[in-house]
Amino acid sequence: MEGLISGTAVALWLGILTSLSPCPLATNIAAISFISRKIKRTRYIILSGLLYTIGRMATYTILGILIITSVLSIPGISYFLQKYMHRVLGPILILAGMVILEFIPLNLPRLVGVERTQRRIENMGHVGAFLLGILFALAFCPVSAALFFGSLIPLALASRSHFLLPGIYGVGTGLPVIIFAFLLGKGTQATARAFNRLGTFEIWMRRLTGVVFILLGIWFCLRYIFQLF
Amino acid sequence: MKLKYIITAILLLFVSASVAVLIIQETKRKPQGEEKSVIPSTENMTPGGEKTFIAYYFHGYIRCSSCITIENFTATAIQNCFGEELKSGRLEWKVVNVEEPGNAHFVNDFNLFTKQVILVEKVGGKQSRWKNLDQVWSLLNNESQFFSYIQSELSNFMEGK
Repeated sequence: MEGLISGTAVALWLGILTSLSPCPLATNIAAISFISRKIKRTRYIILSGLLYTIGRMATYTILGILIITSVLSIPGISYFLQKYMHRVLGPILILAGMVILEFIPLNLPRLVGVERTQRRIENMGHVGAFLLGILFALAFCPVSAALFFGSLIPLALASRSHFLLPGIYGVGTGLPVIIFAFLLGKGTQATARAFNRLGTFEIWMRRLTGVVFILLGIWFCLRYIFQLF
Repeated sequence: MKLKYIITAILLLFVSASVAVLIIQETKRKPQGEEKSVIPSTENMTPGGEKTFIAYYFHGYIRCSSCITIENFTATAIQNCFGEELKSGRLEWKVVNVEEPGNAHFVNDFNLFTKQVILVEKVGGKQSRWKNLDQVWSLLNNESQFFSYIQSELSNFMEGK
């Protein structure tokens, strides 16, 4: 029992270390801006943050199970994800940023009424946070690969905790993102209230999210596809 | 409105170009023929079963700053402490890009999962054992500890410990 508790604490710490390491910083900035963009609704930020973390948890848990049960080999999957995910991420982030900025329209049927359509768009935001969690969790870089494949998986194997520890690691990777998103959202909300411009601030937060996504996407493309720096 | 369309067109063009370059890179980099494992190897056969050592640093095409630091620290630590062994050829320092054609076998040979430092012992040219220096990532921010870790691990390894 003691081993499991200390294992859980180590897994959580490894997750936090992963999220704070310089390498996944770019994806974390994108996640924070995506989650905190709806400044009017604190519940929305919390729920999006939770779904983002659940997405990460699910990914690491499934990955952990597949590795521990020998369906996937550590070298094979680690190198595959490091090699391809960052390259794929660039174009995806640009396209997502364009959707957020409404450069690419998403035509939802308006037959069901405005309220329902609005709810649907809101739900899409939650699904988006969940999918973002999955996508960013799979974007392994050398540091996160060393922490996950080199430290967490041996720990999960040693403590025979195939589900729990990879899941806890996922929570650790999402935790700082939720906290920062929440604080950013709250801070912007307070500033917007002070100026009595909540609606305007939310529009600008959404635009900022779109711009952050596009700029990061361009950076990912230039670095990982065109290899310019 | 016109500006919005221009930006959209430029971004879509950039995305298309990125995807095209990605596809071209992948088709070009596909390994020719079957990858050969280094285990067992007959290269560098030395007479009389003499022991030789190789310190490898494995990386890919994309070089992150931490990865370059690990490579530089390891190279300096080895050159500072094992200059004689390097000169005599008893020890070799090799930097290998595992994504280059012909090098992919190293990933499975040494269970590589990220950029790693691996020590290899060869007896009579045949690989007899190897060790992954798994602390390089955690000691990255402490240069002196990193140096002493590499030097003590390599000394012990060369003494057969």
